[in-house]
Amino acid sequence: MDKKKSFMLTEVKKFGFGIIAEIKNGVYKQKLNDLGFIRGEKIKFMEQALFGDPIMIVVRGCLFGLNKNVAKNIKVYLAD
Amino acid sequence: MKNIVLVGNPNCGKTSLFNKLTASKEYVGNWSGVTVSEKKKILKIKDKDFNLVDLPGIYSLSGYSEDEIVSRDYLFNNKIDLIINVIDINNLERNLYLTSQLIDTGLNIFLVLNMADEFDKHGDKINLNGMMDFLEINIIKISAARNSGLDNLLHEIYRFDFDNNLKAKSFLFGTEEFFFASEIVDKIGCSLLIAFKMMEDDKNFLSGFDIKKENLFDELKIEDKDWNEIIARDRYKFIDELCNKYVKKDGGIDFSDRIDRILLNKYLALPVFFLIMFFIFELSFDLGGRIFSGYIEKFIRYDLVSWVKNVLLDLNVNKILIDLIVNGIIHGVGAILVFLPQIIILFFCLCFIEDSGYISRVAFIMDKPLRKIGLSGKSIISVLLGFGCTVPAIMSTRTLEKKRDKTLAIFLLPFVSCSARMPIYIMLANIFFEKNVGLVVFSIYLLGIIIFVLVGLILNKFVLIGEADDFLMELPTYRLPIFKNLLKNVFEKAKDFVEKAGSVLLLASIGIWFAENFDFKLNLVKDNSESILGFIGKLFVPVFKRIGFNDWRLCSALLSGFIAKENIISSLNILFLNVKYDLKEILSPLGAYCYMIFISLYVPCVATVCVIRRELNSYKLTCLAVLLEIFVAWIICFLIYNLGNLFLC
Repeated sequence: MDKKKSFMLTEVKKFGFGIIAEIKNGVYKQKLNDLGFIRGEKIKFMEQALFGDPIMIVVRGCLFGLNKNVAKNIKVYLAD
Repeated sequence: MKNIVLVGNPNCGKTSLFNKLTASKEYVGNWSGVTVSEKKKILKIKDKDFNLVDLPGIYSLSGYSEDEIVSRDYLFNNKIDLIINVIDINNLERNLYLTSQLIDTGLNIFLVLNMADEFDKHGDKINLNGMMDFLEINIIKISAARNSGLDNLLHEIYRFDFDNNLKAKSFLFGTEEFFFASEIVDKIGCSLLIAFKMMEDDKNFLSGFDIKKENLFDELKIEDKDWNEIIARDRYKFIDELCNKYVKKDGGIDFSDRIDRILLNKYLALPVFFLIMFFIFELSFDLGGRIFSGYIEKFIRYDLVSWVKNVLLDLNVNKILIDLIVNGIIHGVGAILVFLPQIIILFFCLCFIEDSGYISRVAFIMDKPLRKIGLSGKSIISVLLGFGCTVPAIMSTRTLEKKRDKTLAIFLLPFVSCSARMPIYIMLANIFFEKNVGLVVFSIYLLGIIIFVLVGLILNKFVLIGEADDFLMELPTYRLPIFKNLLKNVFEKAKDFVEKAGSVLLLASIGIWFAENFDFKLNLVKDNSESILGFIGKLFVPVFKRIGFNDWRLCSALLSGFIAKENIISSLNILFLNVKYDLKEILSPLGAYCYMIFISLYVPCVATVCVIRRELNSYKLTCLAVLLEIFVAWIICFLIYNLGNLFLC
């Protein structure tokens, strides 16, 4: 997979690691920034709930649950 | 008196610390949002008194939800002499973010690193002195749950020089944004934090202040950049450097992660959750009842009654007084105490779920299903609390950020059967459905949930139209609840229950006994149906006849249930000489089942109505909520009673 290509967090369907590429401007920008979701930060993709929503990720050692509406504001690069 | 405030991330143990310091009993749980409003207590250290305030947990100083706004407003609208920033030491990297903002307020601050027991157990190390020197701030390591380090903290507070203290250095010192922020501070004389917030253009936060930007930014030549990200990034950068320098983490095996593989597995999560709930209810109703309640009931109903009666007869006490004591007080209050074991088991299980950290996971797995009725996963926490008591459940809706979500949740929560209603089901099920007590009681709970969902669907579709707020929630690591604290929590609940029996229910029992034995002219009546209660109860018979309760005593018991749901049991025990036989004569099993359903759905108790009013802040909506519950209860009973009759005949 091309490492430079960024994905919407909602598109990532498997366990693994990645790096936050961008937090889109919008109502969640400040809140996500405050929680440590910042460009360049490592991110770990975890389990998804039934039907793929909400999803679980680990950022800065904390486990978060977030639903699609929030997740679509986060773009990530996938690590190998 | 000096004002000291506890501030920290959600779920970092602020309330535990508050309780330990002030020896009070505020509620603690392992999920975000246990504390929803500020709490004040006097903290006594030797000869000095302090005002200690516990604020709801916040991740940052902005204003996303009501409880976060409570914290922000408290910090900026009051004279604060010292902030005690409580930090989960196992999660320094995130907790210190709030610290960096708190430092920028320019207030005096102490860092308290809580949960040190877990930290030490993992084999992690921290260089406290180095960190203290570097930050120029007081840092104390404690474990509130295990009582360690508290004396040290009290000592530091005691000897703290409130007036002559060096302020800690901003985490952003030396950065570009710090330079601009300092210029803003010089220009308009605000705190550093507000200057940063102006650069971030955080409208939520600034809405609380009278600040005008106007041409200030042009004047100071502050570029239009993504300050929001830059400031957050630099705060975290500083924190990372700090942690790298002074904290050694062992990494350790992720215990939480492994549990989650099962409990949050895509396919297993929901079945496991329902199994756990079923197990909890089975445990409390069936097992609890069989093992414990039987003995207590036998003791109160037979041994105690006959003993008291004999003693009173020996003393030649007035017959009416004996009747009051035996039939009014012992039967009324005693009938409730019988259910103490069940209540204890139920609360023990609910507390365990909360303390362990599972409750936020339930919010996660229930998010999608709840969206169908217009609620977000967060509201499942209120639902689970509602199985205990509706009052805290309704208060917990404050963590819901949208007004619509909150209103919807408050309208629906009374349908969740609280523990005060449980004894009634168990008593009636024992009389009418001896062989299937657990199943019958469980079905009542299930029906409550079904009604919750149905009414939710209807309200969401036609009245409170809209989408539930998005889900973004931290799932705390699992923590094995400390048994001692768990017991303490349960003990408090049990004490409340017994106290209620000794106060409200005692008075109500006496009142009911009186209203049952006297008429309006205050003459003793021979036939109870001519008494005050008989008169009032009969007024309601026509309404309830349709759903199978054709007896004034059943109706007046329902009325007394408005004061407190447990009252229904007391009333029935006072009104019927021998509940078991008398009830069987006037109620069919179907009627009894409807009676239970009606009790589970109709108006919640006075306390709940008051809380609903306070949270909705509207008499009109409160009346609507109450009418809705009565209406739904009646309709459902009407349907079940008539359909049941149709099929059973």
